[in-house]
Amino acid sequence: MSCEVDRWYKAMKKPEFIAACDIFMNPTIQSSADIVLPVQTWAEKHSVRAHYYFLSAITGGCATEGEAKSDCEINRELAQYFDNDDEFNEAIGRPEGKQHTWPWATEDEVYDEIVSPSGFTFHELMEHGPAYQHYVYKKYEKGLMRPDGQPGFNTPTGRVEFKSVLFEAYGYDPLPYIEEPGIGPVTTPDLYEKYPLIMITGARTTSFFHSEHRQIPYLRQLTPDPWVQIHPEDAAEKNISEGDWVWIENHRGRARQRARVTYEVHKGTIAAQHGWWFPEQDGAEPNLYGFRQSNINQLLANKPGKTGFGADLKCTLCKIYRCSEEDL
Amino acid sequence: MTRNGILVDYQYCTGCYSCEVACQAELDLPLEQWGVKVLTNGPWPIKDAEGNPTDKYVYDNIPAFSRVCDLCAEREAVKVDPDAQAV
Repeated sequence: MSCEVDRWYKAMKKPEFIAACDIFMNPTIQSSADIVLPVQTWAEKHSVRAHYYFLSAITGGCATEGEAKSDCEINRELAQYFDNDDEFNEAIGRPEGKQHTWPWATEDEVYDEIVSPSGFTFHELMEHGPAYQHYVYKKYEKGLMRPDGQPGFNTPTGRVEFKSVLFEAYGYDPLPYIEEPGIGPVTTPDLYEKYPLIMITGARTTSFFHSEHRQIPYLRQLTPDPWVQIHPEDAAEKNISEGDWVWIENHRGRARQRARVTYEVHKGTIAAQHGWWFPEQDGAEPNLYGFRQSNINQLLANKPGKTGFGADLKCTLCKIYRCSEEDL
Repeated sequence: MTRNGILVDYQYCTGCYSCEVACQAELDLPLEQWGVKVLTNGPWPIKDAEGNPTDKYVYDNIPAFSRVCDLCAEREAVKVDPDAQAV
């Protein structure tokens, strides 16, 4: 879950009804979903890819596991159910009754519809391979970038803006600037007394993507445990050796990860991993796959920047100390 | 008679471990058994003549190939270009 874990945990218990679609069970859906629908992976289903600059068909090739359906098929079946349900149509003020919002009888027909602007059917696209748009260069000279059709760029001034006139209009600094984060040695010296290390987080391992893949054995063998990078001098000060489980703690909470004693970080800074939970642990409440154990977000807060964008998620202050026998 | 080999430039190896995972998949090896394993030397600072650390470091990722490596013989034999369009 995001930061302020307890707050989210309680909030997710409140909605009347939550349905989830996922490939794997995880702590979030285990604790909050009323219904969980298993979905097919990309290898088991047909699909369409339409982001960036090309359109392509994804051709599934493996037999489906169990009762999993594709997300598209789930949507299609649900839409047709609601289209045909008198009670539902009455309740949403559509008394004329049965609709045909999703008239397609099969998934492949849905994909035909999605790719139809290209002139291909879905199966034709599968044969053809990726379809590219016609490239047009110098759109800014030809009036192809702005909704009003004028030459120039899609900015309020039509120019490339080194200073942002929009930001200025809203009363913000039109130029980029650097400021100290909300928590740190400069902004909160009192906290720094108690929590003398700067913690950064969010760096990647090649083994996983965020909280994904902890349950894939061939990826988990590369990074079996969460590790936190600690400079050798900081480690020595706290009597921490390579591989020791250590608590990372601040005024908001704590999490434990294994020490990786290394020059990869500056003295005075530690780098912790994010996204950790343990699919091999008991998934029932209250343990929920041990999602609190190494969850670094417990030390961070959901506070956006001045404009509502950005957040102090990369860094905070903390202290570290070895886990006791009882902790483990 | 010519023989093939694998050439690795240690200046470029970033330690992404893709080779480890690909090799396990290709040779169908069980967990924790590696056809190629990436070893890491460092990072540690290089010291100058007086024994003071400089700002130069040794930090090398070194893929080490084991005796089970057969240079992907099965793939070689089929001679299919993996980048070619599927028919």
